[in-house]
Amino acid sequence: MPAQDSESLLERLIRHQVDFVVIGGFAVIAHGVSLLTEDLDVCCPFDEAGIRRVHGAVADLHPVHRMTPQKLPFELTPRLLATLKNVYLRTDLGILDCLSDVKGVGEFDAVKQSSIVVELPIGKCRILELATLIRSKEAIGGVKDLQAVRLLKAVQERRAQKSSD
Amino acid sequence: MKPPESPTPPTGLSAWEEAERAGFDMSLIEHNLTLSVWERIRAHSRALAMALVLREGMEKRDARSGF
Repeated sequence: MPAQDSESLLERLIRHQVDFVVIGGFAVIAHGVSLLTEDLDVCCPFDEAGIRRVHGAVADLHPVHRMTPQKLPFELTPRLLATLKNVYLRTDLGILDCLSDVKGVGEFDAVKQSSIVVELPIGKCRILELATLIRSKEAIGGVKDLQAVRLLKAVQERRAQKSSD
Repeated sequence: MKPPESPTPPTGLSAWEEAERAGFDMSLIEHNLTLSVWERIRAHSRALAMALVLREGMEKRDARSGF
């Protein structure tokens, strides 16, 4: 199994001009919480142009649909372009999950509106903003999500204290 | 009339104190908040790489012992 190299996956998404927002565990890390995550989750538009950009970003990384038993290759077909809503990929750089919506937030446009832009050495990148990330993690409600909520709320409280100082 | 009981009675603790009481090491968060987003991502990657190396070692050990 390839080691997870989320920075390189991010850099590829940025370089290939994928319109995306970092969500999930990686967004939790970006906001300052120390919980390990083994994949990179992003929300992006699932129109034809959006899917083609994601495909272009990972095409040379032997991407496969990791949720399918046969690990089918991620190849664009007219049927796939018309029906795809989420794509769960394993690539040579690790796991990349692209979702068309975020639980508790909505579809890509709503997610993008609730994101912040951060400047990284690899380029500018959107990350789900803190209060919305908390809301989405509460809506998902898994054990790890609720652990993250507890810590994200502590971060939120600390930031509020700092900004009122 | 008696007010309805809250399922989680308010403790009067802050979110930070609640997390501390739940056993989280908040010094890690404290440190993370001094870092840039990129530094947090890099630190996470190093920790994940180490965790995966340890997991691989354990899997090899378990395979050898037929566990």
